[in-house]
Amino acid sequence: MKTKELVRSMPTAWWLHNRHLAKFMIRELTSFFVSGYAIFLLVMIYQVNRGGEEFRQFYFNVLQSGWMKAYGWISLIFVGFHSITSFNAAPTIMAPRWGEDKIDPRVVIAANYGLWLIISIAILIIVL
Amino acid sequence: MAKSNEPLVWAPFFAGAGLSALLMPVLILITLLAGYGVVPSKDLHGLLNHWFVRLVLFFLISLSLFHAVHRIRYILVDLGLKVARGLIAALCYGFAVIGTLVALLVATGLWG
Repeated sequence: MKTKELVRSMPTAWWLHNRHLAKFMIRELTSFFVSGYAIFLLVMIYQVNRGGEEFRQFYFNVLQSGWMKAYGWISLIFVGFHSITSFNAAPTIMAPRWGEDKIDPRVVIAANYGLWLIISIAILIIVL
Repeated sequence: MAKSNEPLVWAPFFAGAGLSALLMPVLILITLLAGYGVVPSKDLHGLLNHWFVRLVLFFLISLSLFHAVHRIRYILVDLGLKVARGLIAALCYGFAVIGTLVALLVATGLWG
């Protein structure tokens, strides 16, 4: 006999009743900013493909516009939050071992932050 | 044991999580600096034309999309769209696949 799946009703605002759940949901919602910036990167490369003059116009009309700067700052906050929560969750997700011993979670988190810092500084040095 | 296709989406999700966490904040910062004129148009154009930068950005765009849609899929289900979860999964991963194909065309210079 085929059984029918029980789908429990759930209020849309269930995550607003608890601080930890709200934080969890905000972290999940930062994904929209990650995908948004990925699409924006795609648009930027597309503008480069169109030619030097077209990119120059895009640079002055879009990149230097007020709304783009506002979007950039908001994205930086949310994507930064996304990165921080990812690094903090790293030992739970990976749980790396050294031989038989489990590596101290603080070491894993520190290694992630260290790598983030090194990569970010290296990229900034290359670009600037 | 029941077979699951979850590893297929978990692998790009996990790779995208790492890559976007490490690279995206500094790239957004560079875009902002360009907005304030600190990174000139010519420099940004030259940077985005370099083959290695394009290779990295292709993987970043593709894996970040897979990472984001995997989370968005579960957000939508958690927000009460449980009955449409099959459709949501198809739309989310379909979007990431299309985004990857577009990224491939754009990064290789075939489109634009």
